[in-house]
Amino acid sequence: MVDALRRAHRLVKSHGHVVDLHPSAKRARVEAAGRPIGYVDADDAPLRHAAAGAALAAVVEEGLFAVDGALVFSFYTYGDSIEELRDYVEANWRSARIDDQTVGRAREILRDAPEAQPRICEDVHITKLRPLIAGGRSWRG
Amino acid sequence: MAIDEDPEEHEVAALAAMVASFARLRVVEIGCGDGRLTRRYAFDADSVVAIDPDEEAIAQIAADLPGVDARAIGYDALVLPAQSVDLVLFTWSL
Repeated sequence: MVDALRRAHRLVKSHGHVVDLHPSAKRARVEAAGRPIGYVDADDAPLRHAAAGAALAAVVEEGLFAVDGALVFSFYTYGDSIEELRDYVEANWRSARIDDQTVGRAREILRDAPEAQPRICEDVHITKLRPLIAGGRSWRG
Repeated sequence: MAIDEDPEEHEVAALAAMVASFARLRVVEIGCGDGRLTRRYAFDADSVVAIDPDEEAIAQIAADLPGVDARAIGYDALVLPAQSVDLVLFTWSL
């Protein structure tokens, strides 16, 4: 990941930027009718996402980039049913699943609130990096 | 299937907070996937190279966004001149 950012440093113009979006290391939450009811189980996702954050910190520490902006936002994925969300995660996420207990809790809640769509909530970091020249100096003087 | 990703458009709003305008920018997007974000800025940018190893997703982007240089490759295979890009965008791909 650090190598990828170093390559980006070579690619980007002196007045350009690198912007990274990656999910936080916290597990994605499953919610039904606005209530948290469980998590998406994803084998190594928290480690991978933590590593992305560490890589960003490393290239800033190296003096390759300065942080020009950063924020965290919530990314929601809705399904018409908990089964649809479960199937979507299994088909599209890497080694991830919504376990049977969470599916059962969602069914119970949604039985009383059939109009409510179950959803997955991911906290996502977005970071804007400005390239620096060797020694941590800004191109912009 | 009626999966709906980010209907609140939090992701687009966050990107807009970081990049006020894509006008005249030469953009490289790493890990563009199905082009969820690419579609939102491609028409404003000066040029876009969007890469992802998913050949099916890239074929769809190429069909939908003919102005985008969509390539079914990994980042390691991307060859571009040094200091030739205004914005490198890692889309959930770092």
